[in-house]
Amino acid sequence: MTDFFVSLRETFSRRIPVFVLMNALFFGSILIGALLAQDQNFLFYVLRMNESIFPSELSDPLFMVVYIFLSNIVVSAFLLVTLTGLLFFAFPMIILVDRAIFWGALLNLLSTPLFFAAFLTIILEGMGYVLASIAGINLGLSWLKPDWAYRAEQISRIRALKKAIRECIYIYVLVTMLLLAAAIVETATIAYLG
Amino acid sequence: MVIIMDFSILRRKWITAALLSVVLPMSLLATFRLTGVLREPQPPQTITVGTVELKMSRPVDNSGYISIDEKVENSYTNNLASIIFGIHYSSYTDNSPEFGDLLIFAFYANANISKGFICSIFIQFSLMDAYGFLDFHMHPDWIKLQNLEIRTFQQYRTHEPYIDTHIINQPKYASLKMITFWMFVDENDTNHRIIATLEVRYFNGTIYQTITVPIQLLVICDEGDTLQTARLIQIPAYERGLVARNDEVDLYKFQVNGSRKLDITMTPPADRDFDLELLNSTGEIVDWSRKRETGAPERIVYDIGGSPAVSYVYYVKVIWAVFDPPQLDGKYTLEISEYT
Repeated sequence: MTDFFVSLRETFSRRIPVFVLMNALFFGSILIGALLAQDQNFLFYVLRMNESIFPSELSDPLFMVVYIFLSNIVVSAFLLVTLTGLLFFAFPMIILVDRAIFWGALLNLLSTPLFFAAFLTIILEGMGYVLASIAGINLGLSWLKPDWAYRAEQISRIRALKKAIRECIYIYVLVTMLLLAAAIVETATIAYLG
Repeated sequence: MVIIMDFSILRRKWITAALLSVVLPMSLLATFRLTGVLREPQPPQTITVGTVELKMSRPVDNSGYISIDEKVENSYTNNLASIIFGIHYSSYTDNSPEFGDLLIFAFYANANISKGFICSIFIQFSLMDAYGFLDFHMHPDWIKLQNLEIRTFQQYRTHEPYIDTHIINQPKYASLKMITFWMFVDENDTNHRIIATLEVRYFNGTIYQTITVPIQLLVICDEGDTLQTARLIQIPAYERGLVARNDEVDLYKFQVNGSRKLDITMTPPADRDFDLELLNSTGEIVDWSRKRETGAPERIVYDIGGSPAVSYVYYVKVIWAVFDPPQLDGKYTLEISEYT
């Protein structure tokens, strides 16, 4: 167990520059999305491009937490962010920017109390996606440019990919924790503030 | 545990940078909202349009199918939105083996937004009496939907049936058309009323608006065939009735002061011939109009006489003309006014 967390820590410390970069990209894009959506035409365009997937019909809180968590981790994080990174390492960045601009635009529709109440969910869920994107970028680079993914090591593509998959599992422990916390906070926010 | 949580091998500057990369944009967001750079959305607005009414009298013991072509529409229009809610009575079936007395109508809702998008469409029917029920005909061939799908509905044996829809892809236009059965389980001695309400919610770019468009449906029990069962009306009156097989007579009762003149006009369908009679309080015919011509309005102008301080009871009778083939049902309109 200790070994697992040591490996997790090492993986995270190795990728922290990418984490900072992706954080800045993601949360900066939320800000840009919110500012751009002051223009109604842009707001309409963004909203039309992204049909809402919020589970407004789910009334049981536990079911809602599970629904939000599973859809976030399986669809939004793994399929859309990490797995697309395996195809090409830049895809997670594009998807994150798109998601962040959408969130920024949506924030414009919230009244000020809801606007601030959404912050904790945005930070937790956003960091989860950022970590998922690091896993995706790492997977993509491992077979395309192994020396970029593992600079100090001279390893083959196959070994780099295996190593990236292992690191992906470590990262997903953090992603799971963050997205679970985000789902609980989001459910509580919806339950208490609508 | 210390080893597990010890992230000190991370360089301090990267941890600071990681924190800043989250805190800085979020702080700017908060600052922009609080200073008004990011505008606060306006609270949702609800607009309720005035009610329009569709009134129909119920046929009696016709033991069959009567075609009815009555329609009512209520709408809301502003510079951004056009919303139409309509109800179209198509037929009445008396004593149908499966359902009993049955009024079949279609209802439709069209929402058109020039800017923004439609968020939801909800239709509620409030049944105002205990002897009527609604049954939405849910067969796909009888439902027409554009840019929406039915999410939930509740019907039959409830007094609050509704249709709730899910809008697809935030469209500028959405429409719905459905067929509904309105079933009556009384002996044609109760008036039936439904308040149908269309609720359309849309976002126009700065604000959510909910437009409520109500329609009242009124089905009045038969006017009665005798002086004792005649329906009491107030003058001036505008009534719509139906004369059918086994219901050849409709009688209306009203009161009018003396020294007044009555002007009564009854208009039958273009291919029917109905007659009009005015009766006094004892049931004696005091005036009549019996043109032998289909579609011709029958008119009586009658001087009441007597004292203006005295109220007199009169009856108006709409009756099948004797030459009209007995199987021809038809709706008529009756207008009664008084003047000095």
